[in-house]
Amino acid sequence: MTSSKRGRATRIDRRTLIKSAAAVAAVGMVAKPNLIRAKPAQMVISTGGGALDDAYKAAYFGPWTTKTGIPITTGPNTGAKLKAMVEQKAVEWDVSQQPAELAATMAKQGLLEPLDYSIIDKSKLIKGVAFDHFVMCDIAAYHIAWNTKLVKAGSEPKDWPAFWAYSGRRGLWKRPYQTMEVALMGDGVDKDKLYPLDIDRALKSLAKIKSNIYWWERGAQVAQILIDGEVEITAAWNGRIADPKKSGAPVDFHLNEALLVADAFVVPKGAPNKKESMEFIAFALSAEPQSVFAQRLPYGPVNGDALKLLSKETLATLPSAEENLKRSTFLDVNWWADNGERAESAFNKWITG
Amino acid sequence: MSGTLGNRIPSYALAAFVTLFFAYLLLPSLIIVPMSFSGQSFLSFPPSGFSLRWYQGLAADIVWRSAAANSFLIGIPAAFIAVVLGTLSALAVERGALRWSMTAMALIVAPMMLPHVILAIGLYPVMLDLGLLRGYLGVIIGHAVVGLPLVFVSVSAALRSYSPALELAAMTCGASPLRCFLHVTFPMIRMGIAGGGILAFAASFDELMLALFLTGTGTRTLPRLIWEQLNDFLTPIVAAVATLIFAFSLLLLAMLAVFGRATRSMQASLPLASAEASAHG
Amino acid sequence: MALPGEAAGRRVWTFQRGNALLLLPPGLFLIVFFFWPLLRVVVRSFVEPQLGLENYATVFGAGPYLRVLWTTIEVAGLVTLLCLLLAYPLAYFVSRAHGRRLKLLMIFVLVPLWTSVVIRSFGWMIVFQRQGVLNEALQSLGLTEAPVTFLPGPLAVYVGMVHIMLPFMILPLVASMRGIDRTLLRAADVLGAPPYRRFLEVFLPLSLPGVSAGVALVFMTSLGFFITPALLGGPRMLMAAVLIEEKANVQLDWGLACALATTLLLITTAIYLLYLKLMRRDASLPVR
Repeated sequence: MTSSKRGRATRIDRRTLIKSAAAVAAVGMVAKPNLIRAKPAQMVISTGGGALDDAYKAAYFGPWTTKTGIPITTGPNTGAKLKAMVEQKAVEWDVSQQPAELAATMAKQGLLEPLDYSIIDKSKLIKGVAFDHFVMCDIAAYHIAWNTKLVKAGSEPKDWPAFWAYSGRRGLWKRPYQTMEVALMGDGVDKDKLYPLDIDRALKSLAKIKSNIYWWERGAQVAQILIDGEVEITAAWNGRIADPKKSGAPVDFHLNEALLVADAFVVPKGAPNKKESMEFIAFALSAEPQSVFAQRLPYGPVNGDALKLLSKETLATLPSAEENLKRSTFLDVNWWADNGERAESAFNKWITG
Repeated sequence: MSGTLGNRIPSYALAAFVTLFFAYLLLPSLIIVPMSFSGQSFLSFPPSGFSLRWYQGLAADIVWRSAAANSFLIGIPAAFIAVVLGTLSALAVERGALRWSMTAMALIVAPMMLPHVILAIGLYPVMLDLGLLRGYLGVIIGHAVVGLPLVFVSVSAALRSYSPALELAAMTCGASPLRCFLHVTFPMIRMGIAGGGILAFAASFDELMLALFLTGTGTRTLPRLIWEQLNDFLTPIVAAVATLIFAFSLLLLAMLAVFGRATRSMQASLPLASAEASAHG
Repeated sequence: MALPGEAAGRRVWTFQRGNALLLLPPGLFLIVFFFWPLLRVVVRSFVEPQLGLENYATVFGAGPYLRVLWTTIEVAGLVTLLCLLLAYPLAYFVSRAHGRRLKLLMIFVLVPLWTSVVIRSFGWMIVFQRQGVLNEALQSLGLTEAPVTFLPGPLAVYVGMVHIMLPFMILPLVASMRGIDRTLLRAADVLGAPPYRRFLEVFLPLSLPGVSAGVALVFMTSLGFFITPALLGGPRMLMAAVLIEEKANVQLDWGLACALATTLLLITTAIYLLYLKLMRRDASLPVR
């Protein structure tokens, strides 16, 4: 008790002492102090990098700079660093893109600014994407994929019970999130009645096929093992499979009973330019930028109007297109924020046992 | 060479073992090089098709180039600090007759046993308070913390491999501590220092978490870019990067070998280098 | 005026004293940049999410955590043993070389260090696949008829991990073996010791500092294994670093992450101290 109190007291003391240093180190890079602020000299947005970053640049960051004159610096979006910066009141990021379930955990721990829905227009967004402290910005799917050389056309599993009944080697993500959901669907649970997750039942369902699961760990790995025929069928994310499919690799997928997972925009608590952060999010979620993004990556827009701007062929690949939404279901990010530790502990105990 | 063990061990068995061993060491590199010339956009071996487009992509991509530069700009000073401090601590523990030398050793190697993400969580506020999160200073220090034990262990072993009597003899004959270090100790532990320094540089070069925490948002390093691709999609561009680094390191080491040979033969002509010569028989 | 012997004695004394003072700069450096952060980490393990022993109760409770810590230590131990067995004869071979040949051999030893562990692990994945290089070689040699499934599995993962750690074992071994006074071996030869006795009673004890250093470096670095076991190892091979990263970075459960890291640090420090005691008893005899 005493130690934590003392810790807090010294922290405040030090805060004032080092404010100038911190300002030089972090905030100074971002914006001139509030004296002359008509608008910030630049904004910092952290992302997952890679192809996602390229698409964000094309769809959101570039047009935003054209529109407002504010350049955007991007960088890695390490979740723990957001927490560290907020705790130390040294936030460098104006906006951050995070996996939605991590955003929910951040919200629960009080690390995020509430979003200003008077600036961000909620009315055009599809149902279930806007939350108090985060808003989903693109929607991906965890779905069934197969190797077309090893699985005869037409004999691929049509849904998760068929995936479970399949006799060949199959891949699943070595994490409880998403894998427990599809395990329950594989055991016959209706896609709309998944939550609260029955952890024991999910593990029992996984146990039934344990002997021929290839547990993969990373996105690049699932693409590799499917392309090379290490597994015949697998659960995978559409962003990992759509691209090799397009470039001629022997892989295919469908979005039936897909589990929808999302990226979300958040504003870290104490972000340097809150107003512009909200305005940026509002801009990025508007129809035109959302449709540009969806043309570059097969992640669905969250803005209903953006869907109207897209061609039929593009829509077929997007998890949030109306046809695909109907046959899939959202991962409940708040359930995971509340029960993640319990579910993960049970899963890890089971998988290492 | 007479009198060593080798001439009694069947030499063909040893030769076969050494050949297989180096085949094992080089195999991943030998697989990665051809993959970098792949015509496809995913990694495969043997690669189908031949193209230079991944190298052209690298040449056009400032992100990868600056990440490679960052990794060197961080790794070299970090390894340097680790070498200086690691060697000092090894000298103190091995030659200082410390009372609690075992405790000291355990404390000095402790940074190796703390997962980097946890060290980063602890180090971030400290760096912030000290105002060290400017440029690469923070991450250089962070990597030096991780590299120091590598140098310490490596140099300690070298110091323990010969008797301190050599140094005492030099001191008794009137050599100052600095002369003693330069002319007796240093030649004996040179390989330990070099080995530790190389390991410290390699550790920094492939480190992800501290680099994420202790650099500004715009800074990317090679491990970070590779990590992004790993979560996403690994293209032959990572093989191209690995191939270039591989070629670069071979070139550098070959240059060192030539250069090192020259300095070595110069030293050999100096009488003071004879301590090493006599130690090697 | 002091007698020469006295002066030498004082020199020795100041030599040791002076050397002990060398600990000051690295000591201060580590206090500020390691032990102070470490203290914050340990405190956090007791105060987040609330004050108490809750996190340690979780670590030592019925969950998977103790098992994961044990797996980590076990895997690190096995990797260390394999590295030692492979590296010792190689280091012996390398340490006998001179001049350009020595440099060439060292370059080969160092080559793997410059390739990212992630890329190397991916390379091994491609080697060990069912349609991979290894299976093709086995089939063309007629050793197997159908592709063998190696992934994910112990062979692939240990081949991958040992590969990463070998330079950490070879470098101190070579450094130490090159310090060995070969005239001692010649003396043993002259005195009629057979080769195995020359090795066991002269060479091996003299190389123990290198063995000790290599074992320490490999074991402790192996505790941090992350991506290689995750990509190549089976589901049981869940390593502490993976779990701690997940807690710290994905669930933001820093209290538990710090408790896990603290526990790992304490256990491994205890192992290291025990090991130092054992090594010192054996190693100090012939050297000093």
